[in-house]
Amino acid sequence: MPTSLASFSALALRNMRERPIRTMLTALGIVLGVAVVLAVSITNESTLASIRSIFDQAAGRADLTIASSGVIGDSFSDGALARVRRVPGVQLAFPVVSGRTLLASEVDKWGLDVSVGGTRTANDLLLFGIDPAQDRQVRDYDLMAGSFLPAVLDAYDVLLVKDYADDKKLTLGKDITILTATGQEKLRIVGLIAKSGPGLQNNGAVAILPLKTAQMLLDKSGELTQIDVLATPDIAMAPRKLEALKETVAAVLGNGYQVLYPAARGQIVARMLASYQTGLSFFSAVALFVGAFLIYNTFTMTIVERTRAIGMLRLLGTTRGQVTWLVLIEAAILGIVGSIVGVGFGILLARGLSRSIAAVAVTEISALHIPPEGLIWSLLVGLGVTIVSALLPAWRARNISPLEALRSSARPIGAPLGRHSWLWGCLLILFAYLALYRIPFRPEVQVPIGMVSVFVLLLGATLVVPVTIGLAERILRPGMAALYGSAGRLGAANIRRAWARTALTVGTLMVGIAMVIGIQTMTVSFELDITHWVQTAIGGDLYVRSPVPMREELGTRLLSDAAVAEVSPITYRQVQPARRENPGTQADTLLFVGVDPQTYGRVASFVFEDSRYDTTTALAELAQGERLLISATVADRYKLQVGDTLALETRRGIVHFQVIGVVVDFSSQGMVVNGSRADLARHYGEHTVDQFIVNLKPGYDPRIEAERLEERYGKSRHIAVETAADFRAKVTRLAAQAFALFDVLGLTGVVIAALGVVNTLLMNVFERQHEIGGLRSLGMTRGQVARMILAESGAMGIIGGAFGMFFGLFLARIFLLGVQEIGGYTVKYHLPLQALLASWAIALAVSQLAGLYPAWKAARVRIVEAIQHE
Amino acid sequence: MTILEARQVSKRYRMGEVTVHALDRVDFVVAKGEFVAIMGPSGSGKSTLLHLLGGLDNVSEGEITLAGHRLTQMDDHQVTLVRRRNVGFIFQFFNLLPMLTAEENIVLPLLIDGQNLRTYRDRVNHLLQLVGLADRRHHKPDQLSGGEQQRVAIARALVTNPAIVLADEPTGNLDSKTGEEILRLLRRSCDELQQTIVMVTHDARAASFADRVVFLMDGRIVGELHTTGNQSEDIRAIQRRLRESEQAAETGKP
Repeated sequence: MPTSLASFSALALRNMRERPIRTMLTALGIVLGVAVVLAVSITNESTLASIRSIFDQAAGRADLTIASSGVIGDSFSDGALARVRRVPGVQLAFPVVSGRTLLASEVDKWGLDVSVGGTRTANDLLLFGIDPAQDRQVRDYDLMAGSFLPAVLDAYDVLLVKDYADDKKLTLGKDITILTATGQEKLRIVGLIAKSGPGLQNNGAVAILPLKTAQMLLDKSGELTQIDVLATPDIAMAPRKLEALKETVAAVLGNGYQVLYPAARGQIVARMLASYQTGLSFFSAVALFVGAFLIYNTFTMTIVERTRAIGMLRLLGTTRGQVTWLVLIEAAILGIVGSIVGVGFGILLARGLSRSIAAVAVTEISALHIPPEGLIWSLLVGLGVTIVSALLPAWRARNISPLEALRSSARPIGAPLGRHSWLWGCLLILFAYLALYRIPFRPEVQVPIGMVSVFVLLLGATLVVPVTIGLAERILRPGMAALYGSAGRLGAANIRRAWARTALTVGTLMVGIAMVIGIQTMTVSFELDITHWVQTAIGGDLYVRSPVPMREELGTRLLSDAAVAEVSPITYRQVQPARRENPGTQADTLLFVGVDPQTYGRVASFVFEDSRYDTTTALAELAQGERLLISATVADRYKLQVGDTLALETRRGIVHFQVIGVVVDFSSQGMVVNGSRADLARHYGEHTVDQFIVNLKPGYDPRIEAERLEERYGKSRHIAVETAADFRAKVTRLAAQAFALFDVLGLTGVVIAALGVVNTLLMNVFERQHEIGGLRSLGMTRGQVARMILAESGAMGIIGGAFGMFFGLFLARIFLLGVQEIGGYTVKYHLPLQALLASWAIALAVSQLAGLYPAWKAARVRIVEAIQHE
Repeated sequence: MTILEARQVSKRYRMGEVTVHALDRVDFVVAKGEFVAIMGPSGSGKSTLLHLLGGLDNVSEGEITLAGHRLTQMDDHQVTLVRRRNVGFIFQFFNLLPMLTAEENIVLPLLIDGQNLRTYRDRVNHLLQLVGLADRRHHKPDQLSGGEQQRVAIARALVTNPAIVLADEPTGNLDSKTGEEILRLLRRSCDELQQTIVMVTHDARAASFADRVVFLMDGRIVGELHTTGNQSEDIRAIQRRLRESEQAAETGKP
């Protein structure tokens, strides 16, 4: 038989070929959905893989790594090395001391950079002190020029990463000058290594030097920051034995140390990114949800369009099962093709996302790590979502009576769950409302329930939309007539005709817009809170900082300057909550911000959760010692209230600090406590100053004074002076950068929704060719026909935008809840009027753009053909 | 031999508050190889009867037996299978699938039934010859004239060698010359292939191609005429009488 129609199932392909544009639009919805899901998954995997690989490569072949129990980077006595070496099962142990400094030539350019994880210096150099005689047994140094370090521990020789050396124009055999606590020191460059293994650390800005030299330069004589352990081969190969060895080493060393698997250090950094990544995953799921809407919408329309054909098939003896099968086969083909293209597109998108994540995480993501299971998962998700979305349309198709084939025109399509779908919708919305606002779920399930509620809410909203279309149209009609002339009135009226289809499209648009508004509200709330905190808590006019610790005496000098009115010193110290008393918080570190109670109030203030507290009283209490102001995040995480105590590990054992207030603080992911510098000195032996906040006398320009002060003290004391305004701008910019990605995902949802509008309008034009021909024959111009279609799409945009605005505000609430639960930040809800208006404008613009092609198609309808159209 | 039998078949619809009696205790029997026309004015129930006979709709009361299958005692799935293998349909608006060629439309019932198309090659060729479309087999419906599309529909109805072909106003959408060609074709399939045909029509000339004409009015069979050759005038006379008695009933005069 000379036919390509080899089987009944092949009919599905014919159906798709028959309507190429619709097929393409639907596939595009799947493509975008799958691409976003995959891109987010790849980006997350790649970020984690990169972070782990940097730490793994720096630790080399080590089986275990020992660090201080305080914060990674803190030092401990080198006596630990001998104790570790004596532990049975330890084959070799390698000492490391590391710390950060600057090239003397870079002091001028030195500045503080802010990241989501806290602050870091932008151009610092990591000194990595090793035992040159042994270290190559555990780490691979890929020597590209020169020689390895001589086997002595106190030579003033150094290895640099070639890329770094090239970048800084440093040559082999020459000296580099670095800053130390006591002044400047010179080191001879004896070799250049590749940016791999230990050379990957600090993004290549690393100097490898002999241990003793490093200890001297970093002022850490007799101290180490890390010990890498090689276990005997029998233990190294057996995970259980290695775990036992890890515990033995931990027991031998006792308090003050942590024994880790090398990758675990990467995990600590990765944890910082977790909230961000969860957010991305969630939004990618919402984008897919919008995609599912589009698919459902298209399939429903296709079924309506083909009602007579399906009736005919039924009449010829096609069973209901066969009809269902036909629709699902079509969905499967679309799902497979869309998912495969989506995977390709997703990999491209992942590259863009990775760059943004790298900027947020201040880590270089070396290679895109594409997990094979991620690929398979994306394909399955794409296919699954398509098929699930096609189930209801398939059910409708299945129920088409053979008698439909005998009707002269197809019956209009009803609402998804029948005439009472709005009741179901109201029920779903009520359920979502109760789950979100009324039922006090336990905190650990609140976020997942919140996320499910989002989907329930949007589904409910979509079911309610149809019942409102009639009323909405009546309200819009005069406006549309004013905008588009008499054709506008007709266009607006048209949305009532294929109302179920219109409702579905409006629903898709609504979800897209709700997503944008949800994201915008969250971003605006976050930014407003951050700005408020930045304006209030980050007070003062200037910040004076240095890569090497400063002494209090500099403050007195600054105060003697003619332009300076007030100076207040700040000291930062990473501290650890007492593990015994705070179970489940083992990996936590808190940033202890030590302020000077006498002077702090004159340059900055605290932002209290409860407005009854004030900075002056709080500072007076802090001055009494062993008292803390904790951030709302810490209060949440440790379930603390004013009057409770927080136990911290200190040099003198566990000390209980009394909580005297809860403040808003976004630094260090909100894991911040504020106390007095005197406490830091007493309990941690920390006397140095990390930063001076300076207030200028009236009439002095901060920018000019910053330059002048830096000029005056910069050379001798290696200080950098930054204006508070610049620093605030940096913090705000970083927050905006972190959220820009979410906006991209939100817009993806809108683009998918726009495809839905194109789809619906094309369908309407196709169906009404006869009528359009009639209108043209009555004298309607092509322009009027186009305006009629644009009015129809405009009406959809306005209604979708209005619904989107309403439900977007619900979404925002859930997102903020998510930020609080996952990220730890406590953010106040702000109603973003601008975002609301902007989103509505987006809805309108998108609907008009989406209406252009259908309008053009409609304007081209040929009168004679159209009026003969059956 | 009886191929189709309807016994005391009634069909009622509810239209809002009102119950419409579309068919009222109709008895109707068709023998194998017979060509029967059902005539009657609009709303007389002729299309409803055709739908019930083809298993497209359910009876309110009564029994329908088609090729030995009691349709009225089967579920939807079983009726579908009976329809697939025993009934061919021809409609006024052809109802071809636009994306399929003439030949593909013809073999569609075989595809639906999962048949191996190769074994039907000769039959399909024969049917294409019979309907005179051998050279237009690869054309799609929009490339065919109305008459040609209806001939495709006839070939499609015959392809499964069904027990009965049900035709609903098959010439209603064609000019008189093309309509006559179609009727001759149906007549030929009856004479040459012994195909049983039941045709609904309001056209006396079309009905005259049948062996027997059954007259339906207000859901009841009100008359029957066995035709011998061209008796369209007799048919028209009966139609006229029926119309007059209907008007008399309405005005209350004998």
